[in-house]
Amino acid sequence: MTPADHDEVRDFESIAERLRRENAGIDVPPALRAAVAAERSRSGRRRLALRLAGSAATIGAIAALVMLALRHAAPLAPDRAAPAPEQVVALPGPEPRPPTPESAAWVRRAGPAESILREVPTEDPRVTIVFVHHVVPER
Amino acid sequence: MTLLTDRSLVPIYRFALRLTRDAMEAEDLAQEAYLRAWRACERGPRGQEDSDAMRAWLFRITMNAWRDRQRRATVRRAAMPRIPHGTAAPDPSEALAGREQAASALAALDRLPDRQREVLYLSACEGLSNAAIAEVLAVSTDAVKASLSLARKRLRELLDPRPAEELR
Repeated sequence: MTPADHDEVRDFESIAERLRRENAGIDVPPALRAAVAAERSRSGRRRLALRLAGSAATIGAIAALVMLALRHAAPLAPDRAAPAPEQVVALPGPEPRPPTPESAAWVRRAGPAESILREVPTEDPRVTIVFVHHVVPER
Repeated sequence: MTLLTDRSLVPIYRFALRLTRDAMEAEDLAQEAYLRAWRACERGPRGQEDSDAMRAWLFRITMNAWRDRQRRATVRRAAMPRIPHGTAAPDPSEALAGREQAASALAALDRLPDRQREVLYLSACEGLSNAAIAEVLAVSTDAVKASLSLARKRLRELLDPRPAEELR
């Protein structure tokens, strides 16, 4: 700031003080507060619903992939029953591995998954759990 | 996690009032700007709500929302048939309100050209630095300084119509 600028600001200070005082007296109208709160609440509910829908879709896609994996696996031995998907998902297994072309093909058939994040083989050699990236549009 | 609370609505609304110079339009603009900011905050943290950077960011969102509205209004006006000026008689109550407001510094501020009004409001009332104002308005710091100097001079004249020599 030049000395002239300082003078200008100093000369203007009493008016600036008036502006600040008057401005501080302005409050947000209650109708605006209520409208914003209502919109926030509506938007929050919509986002929560989308998140839940996204989670449900992801779980559904994983379950579908597990079922596909079972279907594409070798026929079951006569003395072994097919495990339920939830039991398969709970099985501890080795480290994740990169997706294979075959699993990518499963994902494409399974529906709206965008990409494969990782695969986790299970102790059952016929079953691989595939985690997919599933995008839910905002609107 | 939402980092924007209702407190941020206050500066947004006050700035919207100065931009629009109309209470109803200011409410609409403030609502739009606040919700834009709120949604942006939902997508990722924006820092401390009371920080200078955050406040400048809120003003910039308000400014952008105002420019968008002005653009839309220009398009609507262009599509409407022209109405001749001077067909409506002035409302006496409005004239009275105008006289009562003449003593108000904010009312005098509202009579300044848009750019001068914006820089002076952000500087004097909100305490933003010239650099921050330049960022809010998307102009250079030099342009802010020039507008600020003109705005101070003009507002002094409006509030005290004595010749400039007498004021010194």
